[in-house]
Amino acid sequence: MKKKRKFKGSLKNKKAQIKLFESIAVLIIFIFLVSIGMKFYTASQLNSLKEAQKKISKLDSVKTAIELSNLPELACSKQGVFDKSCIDLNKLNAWTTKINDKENLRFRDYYYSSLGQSKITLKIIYPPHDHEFKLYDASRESENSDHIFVPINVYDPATKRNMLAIINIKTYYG
Amino acid sequence: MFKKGQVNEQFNWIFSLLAGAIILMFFIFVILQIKGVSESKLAVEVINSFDGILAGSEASPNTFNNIDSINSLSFDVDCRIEGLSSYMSILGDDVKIPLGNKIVFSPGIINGKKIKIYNDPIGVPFYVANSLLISDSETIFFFYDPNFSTELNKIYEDFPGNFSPMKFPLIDQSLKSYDRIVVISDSSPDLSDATLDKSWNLIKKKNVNWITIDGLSTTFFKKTKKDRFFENLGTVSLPNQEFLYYLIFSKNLDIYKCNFARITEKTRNIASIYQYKARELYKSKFIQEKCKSQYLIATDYFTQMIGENQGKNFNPIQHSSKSIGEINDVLLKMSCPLLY
Repeated sequence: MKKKRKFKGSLKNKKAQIKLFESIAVLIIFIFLVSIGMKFYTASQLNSLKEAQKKISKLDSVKTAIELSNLPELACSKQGVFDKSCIDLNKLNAWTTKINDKENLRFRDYYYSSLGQSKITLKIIYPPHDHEFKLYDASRESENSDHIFVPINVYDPATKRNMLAIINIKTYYG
Repeated sequence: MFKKGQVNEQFNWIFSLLAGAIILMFFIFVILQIKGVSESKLAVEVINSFDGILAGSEASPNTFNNIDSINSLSFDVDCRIEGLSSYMSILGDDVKIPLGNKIVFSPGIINGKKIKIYNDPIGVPFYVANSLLISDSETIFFFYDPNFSTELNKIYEDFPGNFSPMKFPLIDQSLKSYDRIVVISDSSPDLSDATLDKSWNLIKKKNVNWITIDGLSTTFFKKTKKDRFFENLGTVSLPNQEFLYYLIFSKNLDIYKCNFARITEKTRNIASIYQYKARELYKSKFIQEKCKSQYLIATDYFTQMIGENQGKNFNPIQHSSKSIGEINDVLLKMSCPLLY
């Protein structure tokens, strides 16, 4: 009789233990499922963030192009009135000399905050010109980049000649 | 003593409570994470829109823009002397965006229902940049002029009118509706002054910047949070009246000094470009001899303007500015290619 009671007691204990493990297992499975859900949600959020970053980077290239055309250091001017769709050839030569001066990085560093991580070149396409002007180079090894091309007029004040050029802006992101 | 069944039931309750608490905490954590991410996202969007507004304002010189504040958020503009860079951020958020070449002056945190932006071009005499003076509907510019000084009156008259500056004796209740007061005066803040003493209750809980003008030497004071006291932040010598407005629109002396250094650096950069241009034009075979002498003189003035080892000294720029303007006028009369 005593043995039977003892056996019943240990059976009840085992049942309670099984119930406890069952509850813990349910809890673990629940958290596991929610975690998987969260992982998918985060992945989709990350994807949409990457898309947004791409979009922002495209906008950044346009912003860089606007910043560049607004620079009085390059733009044509007459009595202080600026033509933002034109680059002065003398200023262009001065700019490329200063910004590519490896011994004095102060000039280049000053424009880093507005031109950022990008590479900007200018090529005169009419009349045909072999030389490519390196306007700014803060390029880096990265697949994440975006290109835009901006047509612009280059004016030579000495000869009073107009030339057609293309500015190539490559912006890096990520 | 408890029976075994009772213990079991109690344990079940404790277990359910613990499990519930864990699940609840887990969800609270997830929600907080999502909230943080969406707040940062919103901050980036808002700050980009505001940057767009600034870019728009920068495009048209001498214009005034009055815009509705975005989402009632507070913006802060900062300038770092190391690297000469300027940033904009939303108060209480880590998101910061660089302002690039924009030169922005604001007397404090921008948080009013209306934001006022004035584009003031900097020319020495060639165009350097557009400085943006920003204020909000919570800020008032108050000219405290009990001595009726003509100098202060001139500054008041020339002050961009859209910022609605006020002038003594319009003191007392009219200041009540503003959170920030920028006092422009020819005397230092003296709380034994009867008028100021009388108005103390009105201004004691407000942010007060006090600018004392003595010719082009200007002292910046800030009201401290404790006691009846204005802290002297220092005195600066201004190159001209234009810079006085920049100081009036500065949150503190450091930000003014930082933006001043940025303007000086940019002016020197542009002067070095013009110096190169003048040399190129002087050497060019397409340029008439009568023009060449002007380019040669201009080259010297640009050299003075760049003034190697001049640090943040604006005087060489100021001195050469007039002569360069005159040379450009001569070149225009002689139908020669202009410098700027």
